[in-house]
Amino acid sequence: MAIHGGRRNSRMRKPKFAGKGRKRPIRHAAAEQVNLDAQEPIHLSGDPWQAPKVSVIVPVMNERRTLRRVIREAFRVHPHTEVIVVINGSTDGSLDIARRSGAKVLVYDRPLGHDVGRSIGAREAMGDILLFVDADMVIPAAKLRVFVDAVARGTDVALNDYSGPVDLPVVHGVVLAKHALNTLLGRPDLAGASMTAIPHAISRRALSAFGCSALSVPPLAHTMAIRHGLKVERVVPVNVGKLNPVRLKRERTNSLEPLIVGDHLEAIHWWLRHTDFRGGYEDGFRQRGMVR
Amino acid sequence: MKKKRRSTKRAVRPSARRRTVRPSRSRKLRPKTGASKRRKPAARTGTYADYAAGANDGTAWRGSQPGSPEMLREAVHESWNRRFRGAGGRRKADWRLTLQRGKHYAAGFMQASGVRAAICPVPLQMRASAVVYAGENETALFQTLSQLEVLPLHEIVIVAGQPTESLFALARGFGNAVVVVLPDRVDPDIGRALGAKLTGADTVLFVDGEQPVGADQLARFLWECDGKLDVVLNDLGSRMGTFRRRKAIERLHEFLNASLKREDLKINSLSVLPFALSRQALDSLGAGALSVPVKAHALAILKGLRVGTGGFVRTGTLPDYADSRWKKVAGDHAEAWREALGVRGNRMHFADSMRNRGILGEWVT
Repeated sequence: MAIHGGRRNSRMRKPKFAGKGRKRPIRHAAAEQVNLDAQEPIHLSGDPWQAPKVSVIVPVMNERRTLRRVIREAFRVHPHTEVIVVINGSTDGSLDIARRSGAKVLVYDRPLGHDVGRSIGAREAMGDILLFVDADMVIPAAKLRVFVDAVARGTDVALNDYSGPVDLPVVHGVVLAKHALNTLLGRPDLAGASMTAIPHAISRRALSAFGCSALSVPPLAHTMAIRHGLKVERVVPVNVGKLNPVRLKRERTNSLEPLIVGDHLEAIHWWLRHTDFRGGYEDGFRQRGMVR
Repeated sequence: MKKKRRSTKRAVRPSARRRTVRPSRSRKLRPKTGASKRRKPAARTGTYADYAAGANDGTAWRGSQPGSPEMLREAVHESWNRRFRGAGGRRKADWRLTLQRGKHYAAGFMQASGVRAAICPVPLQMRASAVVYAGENETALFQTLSQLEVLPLHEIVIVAGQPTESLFALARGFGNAVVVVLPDRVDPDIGRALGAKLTGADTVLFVDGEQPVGADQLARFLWECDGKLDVVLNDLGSRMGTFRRRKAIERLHEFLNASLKREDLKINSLSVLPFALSRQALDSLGAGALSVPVKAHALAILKGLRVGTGGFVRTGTLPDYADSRWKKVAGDHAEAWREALGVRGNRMHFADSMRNRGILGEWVT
């Protein structure tokens, strides 16, 4: 009896929904609870005397299913965090979820295109550290914090140390592109880590080096960061391939592979225009004049 | 209990049914295997026929003149070529079978003529030659040239920078060798490009003077290049293992191919020896392009030349990162992409039609 009573006291709300007896109302209440938590950092970032330390940028396109949890984890990354949600071409009610979450919300009626939301979000960001995540993938705050901490310790670009499946004879075109770009840029140590993959965090210094626009073509920003001599490091692996079975479906219908391979080529193009004709690599002792 | 048993029986049945179906399927397949069995003796008589034909030609040749091994080779190559073409000259003949038939023919020829020599007969329509850049290793060069000697080559161009007296003598010792002596040592790529310029053959085989390769393997490059392909590469891709274990440079090879929409070429590259080029390829690329093989590789694809493979040949170690040769090959890839980006645009036809870039205002260039 005594135990029963204790339980009842600890969960004051339960009897309210006991009649309906379903999980739904309870879950809703839990979400509201989170919103209350979220209000706190918003207060801080709203204070003109204290700018947020970390800006978490979440581009959203119809990701109602996971958005709430993604925003919740984002707010938990740092006590002074602003979450910037860039909604583009969403018709599934993600907007309401974002508005109720306490995040800054930027809305575009039409889809902006892959990763353009990152640029838009970065433009509005006020934090010293910018963390990029996707709305369709819930990554625990503890893991996200590692990326933020790395930037706080002096890294400019803290990458997800995830190279994709590489124990195959023929890998996915995007995995190949990432490895090849890093190799060509003289950073084979980065393996397949890339700004193409989330999560990754960048410093304010990095952002001003390559500008907000370049973030829309992540391999381009990645290349610029390396070319500008910024500190680009792999931090910790977050297996985004495993976390997201949804994308496998999209991969079959409308593959992003050509787009991302093209992004890597655009990056190489930029790099070649900012180095000499051999990308800064010596020619050895080839006497080319001997044969024409 | 009874119920359970029934259920297991039911569960077993479908598979049992399938099993009963299978034998009938294999019966259906049987005629096919029968056909291939029937074909085999035919092929065997074919090779016997080749041997007999060789013996026939060999007898005739012996009657006409006393022969040295060099003359024998020439005679075998010529008469086998005539025979092969005469008998339908199957263009799409299987390489292995063709090689085997040639060997049978040569065996017959030598048996009948009483003259013996190592030989690798490949029926070629066009004139072929080989280009070798001689390194410092004389033994390797000797072995390389010995292998080339047995192939139906019009000439072997040996480019040597500052050769020692003995190396020069060695190179000159081979019958159809043309030795080019340069006052200084040059980069091997430059050496080969020079050699390519000096030969007027329709098919040019490029081999490494430091890494001897068996004549049979090299023969396939000539065969594939003879009216079929313009650029014949060493098929490293057929034994490339998993991506993780591959070298950095192979990733560049692979991505260059992929970005040129030739994923089928895998990790193969013109920067790996041996390779063969057709006259068409040499004329459209220019010998000078071979100074930077990776760039020539990209150019060949960009120009729509027929690029393919000629079998796997084990090569020396590829340069890896932290290797002294790394900067050279990495820079060569930069040049290759520069060329390709110049021709196909800054995304090389991998268009970005989704992004609304206009909304971003100023764009860093």
